[in-house]
Amino acid sequence: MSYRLAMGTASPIPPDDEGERMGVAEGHTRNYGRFLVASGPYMFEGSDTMDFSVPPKDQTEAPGYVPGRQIVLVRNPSWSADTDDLRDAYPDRIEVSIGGDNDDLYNKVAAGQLDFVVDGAVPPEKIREYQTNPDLQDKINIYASDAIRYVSFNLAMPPFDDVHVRKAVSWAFDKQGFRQLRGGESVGELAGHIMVNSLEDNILADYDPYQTPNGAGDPEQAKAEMAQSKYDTDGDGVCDAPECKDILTITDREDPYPEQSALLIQFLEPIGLTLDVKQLERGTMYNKCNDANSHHALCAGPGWGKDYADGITFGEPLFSSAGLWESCCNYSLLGASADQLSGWGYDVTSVPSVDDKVDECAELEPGDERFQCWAELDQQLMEEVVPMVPYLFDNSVDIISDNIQNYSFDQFAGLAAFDSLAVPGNTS
Amino acid sequence: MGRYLIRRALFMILVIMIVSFLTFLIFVKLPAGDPARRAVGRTTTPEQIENARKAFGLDKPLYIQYWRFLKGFVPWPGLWLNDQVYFSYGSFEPVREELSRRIPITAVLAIGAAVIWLLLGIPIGILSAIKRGSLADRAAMIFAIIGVSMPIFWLAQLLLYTFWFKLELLPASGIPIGYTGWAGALRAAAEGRFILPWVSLAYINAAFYARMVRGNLIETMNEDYIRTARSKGLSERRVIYKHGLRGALTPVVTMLGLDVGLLLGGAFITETVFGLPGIGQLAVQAISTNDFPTVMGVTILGAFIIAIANLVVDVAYAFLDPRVRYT
Repeated sequence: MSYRLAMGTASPIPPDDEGERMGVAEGHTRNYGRFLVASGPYMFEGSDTMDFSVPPKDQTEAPGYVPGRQIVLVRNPSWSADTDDLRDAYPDRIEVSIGGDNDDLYNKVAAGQLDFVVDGAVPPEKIREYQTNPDLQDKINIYASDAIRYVSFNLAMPPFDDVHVRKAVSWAFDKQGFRQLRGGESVGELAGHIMVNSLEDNILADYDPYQTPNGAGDPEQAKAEMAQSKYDTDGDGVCDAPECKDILTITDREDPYPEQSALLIQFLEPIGLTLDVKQLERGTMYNKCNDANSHHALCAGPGWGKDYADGITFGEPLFSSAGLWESCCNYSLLGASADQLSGWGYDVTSVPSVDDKVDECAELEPGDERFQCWAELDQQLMEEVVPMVPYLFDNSVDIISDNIQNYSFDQFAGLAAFDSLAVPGNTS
Repeated sequence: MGRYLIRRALFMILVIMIVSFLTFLIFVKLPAGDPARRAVGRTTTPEQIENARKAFGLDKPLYIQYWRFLKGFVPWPGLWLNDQVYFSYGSFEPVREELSRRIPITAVLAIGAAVIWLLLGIPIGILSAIKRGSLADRAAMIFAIIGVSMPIFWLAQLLLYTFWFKLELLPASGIPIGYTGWAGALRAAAEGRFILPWVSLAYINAAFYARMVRGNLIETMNEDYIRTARSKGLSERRVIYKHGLRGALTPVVTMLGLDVGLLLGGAFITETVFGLPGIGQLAVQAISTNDFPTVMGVTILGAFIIAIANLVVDVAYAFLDPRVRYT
């Protein structure tokens, strides 16, 4: 619970004079975000003009937040640095403008017209430029973002209802190639297992049951695994059943996912798997991957990051039955019952479940035992269940302008710590 | 003329209803994602999704959902893009407010670009027609061919990279924080922030208009009344500008009305590349996030603008060309 309250999306709501249940949020069911009362070092500009004594429909929003357009944060006079030894609160004012072309935004950072880009993707050529130019090297910041990139299997869709096929794909997977298409080594570390190391206290830091030379995949090992599958009818290491052809694969249509799909097709072809790739808008892709009725076999575009520093943020939504459709985000359908599978139109009547292990870990107190439990789940998933192929532990890559005098990374949020981005003249 | 206007107004309503119904069908029958699921976030329960669906009215029968949207078409206080239905799934604010904030940006972009493309396209077209076959004509047509062939997103990126990033001659993309409403849009224009977007839009349209004016003027100059004017001893300048151009520019007026109307509905690519917070950028964001009320609001606004522009142009045609009479 304490982790959840520490998240940026958790914020206290002050009571109102009428004693309403939702306090000052009463009457703002759909748009409380524009009437937020800040409790931290910053508030939306103009928040001091909000008057909660008038009826909700007569209240005016803080002008500092205009959805889809801008966020302007100024110092919150109600916050005292003496009560907060965690946040530096250097800048006096933070202006966030929403929108723009990704490449153009990073050109603005390079030109000093922007200090920082939130949630952008630094173009690969910019990464190379900043890493190789001695004058710019201190302007690029690379930190583990505690997120993974992966390709997930639908365990109810042949041929991926056979664990040997899933293991064969894991052996064949060219993780290095996937990483290269994303921008090279700086974008992250090749993933040998599912949960990011910080959630397991680095217990599995060197663990990779499908390690291959240079992370480029091992076709021979893949064939040896495929030969054990029922879909390889002649045992030659090549999937030859009809289910091996035109496997419905969903991916993101933005770069680099189309190129990654092409590579996926390339290294799966020698083991007899051919793909029918559908490139979708990102939100649509996630919806389709999550929708058990979509009958996709592979979801090739997702990523997953922790919400807070505990393995339950991976275990429950990704692998337990609590994350099944219509909830989110168990794309593999682990833990689905026979009735659920039948209701979704699958011929497969059972899939593996790790609900017991997830529940066991969730009950443990924070500490070594809990870390160990999540690590055991990770190993079970990688070696026995194989619901996905994790290929990258993602890095957060930021470039900052010359104006920024101090940079700090908020590991909890997986973003730069805005309150610590100091510029000349800051008064804190 | 009165009966004609009434007929056109009724036809306009029919067109808008067809457009809205098709838009509604696309979003209902080809679901790109459940807006209720998007609204409640990543880790959720079926009950929360169902509550969100009820809050957005998505649990109602399709014809009731469409009827609720239809009421928002009526240009009347309380009905026009009403907050009950036209409430963005993405930004959680009324679509009407979002649109009114963005219209000035799109209007300044569209009108400014139109002025430039007229100032560029018409003279080039006239010169090309008068000096047919000459070096000037060939240069003008090369200008036109490049313009109609070049993708606008490529031109926009090229201009931004060259004139802002490398040469630092013009301001960067986007509108600064605090520039809101008409005052903000005009201030941004005065600071030169619209120059590159205007040029991107204007070049492609100027090229098209140059070709159109050239073709129309060449055709007009072969008419009998032009021969009559010359034989009456009028100067060539007078023949071209007083007699020839009037006939040649009439179709230009028609196209101009439609083109500006289309742009006022949202110059999607230009606004996206230049980070201009106009109607076009809103439409792109809304489509990407399956924000159906916003998409519907933008579609209806765009349809209204284009239909009205169409009507104005048709009426103007009657004044420009005395041979045209409406009943």
